[in-house]
Amino acid sequence: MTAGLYARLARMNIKNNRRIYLPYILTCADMIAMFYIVCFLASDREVGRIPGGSTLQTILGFGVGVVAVFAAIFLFYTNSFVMKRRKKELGLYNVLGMGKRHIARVMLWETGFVAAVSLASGLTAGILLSKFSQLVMLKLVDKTASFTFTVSGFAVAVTAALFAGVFFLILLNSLRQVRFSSPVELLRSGNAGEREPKANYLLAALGILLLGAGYYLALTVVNPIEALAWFFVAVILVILGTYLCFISGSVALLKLLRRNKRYYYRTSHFVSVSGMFYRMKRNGAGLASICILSTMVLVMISSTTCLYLGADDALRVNFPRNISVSTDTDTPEPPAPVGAAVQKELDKAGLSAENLLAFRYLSFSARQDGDSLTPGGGEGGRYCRVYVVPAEDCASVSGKALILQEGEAAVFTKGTEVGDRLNIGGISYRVGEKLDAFAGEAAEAMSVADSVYVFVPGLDDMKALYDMQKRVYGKKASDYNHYYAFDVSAGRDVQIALSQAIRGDLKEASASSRVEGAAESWGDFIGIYGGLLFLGLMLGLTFILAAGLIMYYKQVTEGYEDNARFDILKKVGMTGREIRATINSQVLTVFALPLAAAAVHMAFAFPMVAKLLKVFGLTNTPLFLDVTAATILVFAALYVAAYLATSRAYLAIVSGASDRAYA
Amino acid sequence: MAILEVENLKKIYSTRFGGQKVQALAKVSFEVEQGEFVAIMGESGSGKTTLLNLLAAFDRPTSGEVRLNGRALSSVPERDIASFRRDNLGFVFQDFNLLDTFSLQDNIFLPLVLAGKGYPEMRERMLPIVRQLGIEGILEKYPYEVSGGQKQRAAVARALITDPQLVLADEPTGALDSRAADELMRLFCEINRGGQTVLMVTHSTRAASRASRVLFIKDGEVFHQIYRGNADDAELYQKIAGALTLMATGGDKR
Repeated sequence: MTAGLYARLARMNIKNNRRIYLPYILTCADMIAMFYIVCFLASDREVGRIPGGSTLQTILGFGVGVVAVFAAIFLFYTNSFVMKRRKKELGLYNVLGMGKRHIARVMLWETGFVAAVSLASGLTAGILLSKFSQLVMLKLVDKTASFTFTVSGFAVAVTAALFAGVFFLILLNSLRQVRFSSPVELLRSGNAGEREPKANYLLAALGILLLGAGYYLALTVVNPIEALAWFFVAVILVILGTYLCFISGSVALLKLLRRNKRYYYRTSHFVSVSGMFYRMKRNGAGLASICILSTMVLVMISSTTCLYLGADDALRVNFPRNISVSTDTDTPEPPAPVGAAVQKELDKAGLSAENLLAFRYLSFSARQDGDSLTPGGGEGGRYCRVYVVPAEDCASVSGKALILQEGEAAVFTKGTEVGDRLNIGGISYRVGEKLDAFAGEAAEAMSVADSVYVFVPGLDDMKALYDMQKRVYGKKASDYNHYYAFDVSAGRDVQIALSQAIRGDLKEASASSRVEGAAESWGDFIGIYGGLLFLGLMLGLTFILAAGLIMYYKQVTEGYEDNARFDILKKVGMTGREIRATINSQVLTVFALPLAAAAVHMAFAFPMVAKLLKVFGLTNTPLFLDVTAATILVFAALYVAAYLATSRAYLAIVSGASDRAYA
Repeated sequence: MAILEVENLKKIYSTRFGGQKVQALAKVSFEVEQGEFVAIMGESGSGKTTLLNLLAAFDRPTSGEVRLNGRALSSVPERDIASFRRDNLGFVFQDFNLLDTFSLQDNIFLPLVLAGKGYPEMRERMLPIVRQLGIEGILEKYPYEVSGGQKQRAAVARALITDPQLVLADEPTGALDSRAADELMRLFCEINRGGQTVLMVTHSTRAASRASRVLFIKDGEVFHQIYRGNADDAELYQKIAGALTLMATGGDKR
């Protein structure tokens, strides 16, 4: 035999099995294109140059890893479908006298063809679409791109190397399957005897338990930091629970249905329950995967979209005023240069400070145990942050006088509570008024620790607390912080110039002030959030395609299997109409299940994700609710479209059975 | 009274693009009386399977008519054909056609479930049949767990449970070893003695020798037929073998 023959055989095989191969090649090409694009953007110089570009590329770099791992796993998975259908044919070659080595050569050619075609088309598509994605991404982060078209040799090389590796592993895996099976096994693999699925009630119960635990966690988490820590635990619980419920739970449920003779022996239930029984056993894992992928898409797209849309809000939480100057000193007296420098630059620019927020505070860590707040208090009590503010500054911030007696303090707490007395490292106060709000809190809005704001009568009290924490913490003790922040009505460029000028002036006056401008951080912010959104969309798209493809293969595989069954049903007197009704209800139930489960997962994940978003400074829960609802709707529409498209393939195979009898 | 009347049945298949026409049945006429056990024999390609498909209304004849209990199959509307088949005919196939997704009991119940019968009634109808067929002990098993002979007996039970006018069997012993085949034929005879009309298509002389009448088909026509009369199985076997030899060596149609 000559090499040309193997190549020809391989090409013919792919052509004859195009119903199986075409989607596989498309998936490969799609994964390759997706990977190239992410890789290209992560290494593109033009993206790197924009403000916030490096943050963006860090996020994309992370995305490169995710796409690579996902693509590898997913291609393996799809290839297993292809192999399952091909085994019979390979067995036939074996029986017809082709040795395993010859089969291996045919398969080498086949994999080679698939790899070549999908790499060529995937890279071409990737390169063509890379400019478009670059434009989209830069648009998302509010930048404009140049009109130069570049091909990244680096990205091409990485993509080609990665996928060549993946294809090589796939080939090895297929060869292993051929190597270790006899021709008879290969021939029969298409209709291997079915085992009655065992309903493992224990596993089913465990699945429900895990799912419940995950849901419980998601619902009961109170604060954002906890949410961050428990989120992954909840995710893993829910993933495991989903797999167990789909694999064992569904079989157990159907088994119970089958025990109920009155329910089971009805025309409408009989065939579908028994059909689903086997279908769920084999498809449980696949359906659970579709469900998990769908949930991931929903969480990812809704949260990243929400972050992106709420970027302005988040920026405002991080920077409560357009420009802030905070100065650390060892005296409670206001440092002279700050006010002067700000006023000078404002006058120069012809602007005025609005929403001025200026106050002094002293902050240190402590451990709270009831009414006592002990700095450096060892292991006892709960960690909290103490903020000491003089009464006069509180009054100037809130515009309302705060009258305190000697030895009396007002408090404002966040995440914790205090009683009628307060003992701060040995200094006692009687707690007078408890405030509901304190505008100055915005200066520390990003702190997620429990906080106690203590408003003391005079500067002497503040001094006493200052000395006390100085004694406890020594070199690590805090200084007085003079916070001076304001808004200006001017564009971002003017704001940036203004904060730079103020920074320069203060440096000259050698004040140890930090000047922060919201406008200066805008680039980073939108870089992160835009990047996350872009990545969310890319991964979302990949996952949707993956879910669609799993669906397609399920339908095709089942089509071939159900074909014979419906043929028999026809012969024993089931009408074409009954068969079609059964098919529809069965297939619909099976495919509606993951979508419904994903929506339920999303509903339970909602409170937790909402809390996570708070860590990113996004507190607009109604916005998140709207975005989530919209995401679910759009996703459901795509899902139904994918279902309709793939069920056509199924019907095309099965309807052969309903028509054949009258050929 | 004739339960089945077949009159001038003709079937011509055309290839997919209508070019070639193949005549599967030329002109077949015969009758089956109530309580008869008729075997139809013929070589591969003689039109046996086509005939069976026409009798079962799986297919429509080009011309001619099939009447079951006096009712012409062509007068049954297309949408009622499935329930007509379910109510009047029982099928036994060479490859059993049992569903792997059902236990044997559920396979047997299948036609009754489709007819909308309740569980107690189905159970009541099934018990005497499975007892007669000797499979009452394996009802909870699945088709892939039992032997070919047991599968075929379950298939026979499925054919009988609707109490059909006529049981049509297509090479029922084709996939069985000789012992299972003999046992199955014994059961067919027993069922037939109970009054059930059976029409069986077969290749096997041994299987056909258990019938009360044997029809021979050649080139799409009924070529010859043998009545058992008073002959025992061995004598009938000899007659059938002789007729087959005659057919194979090209004897003229009588």
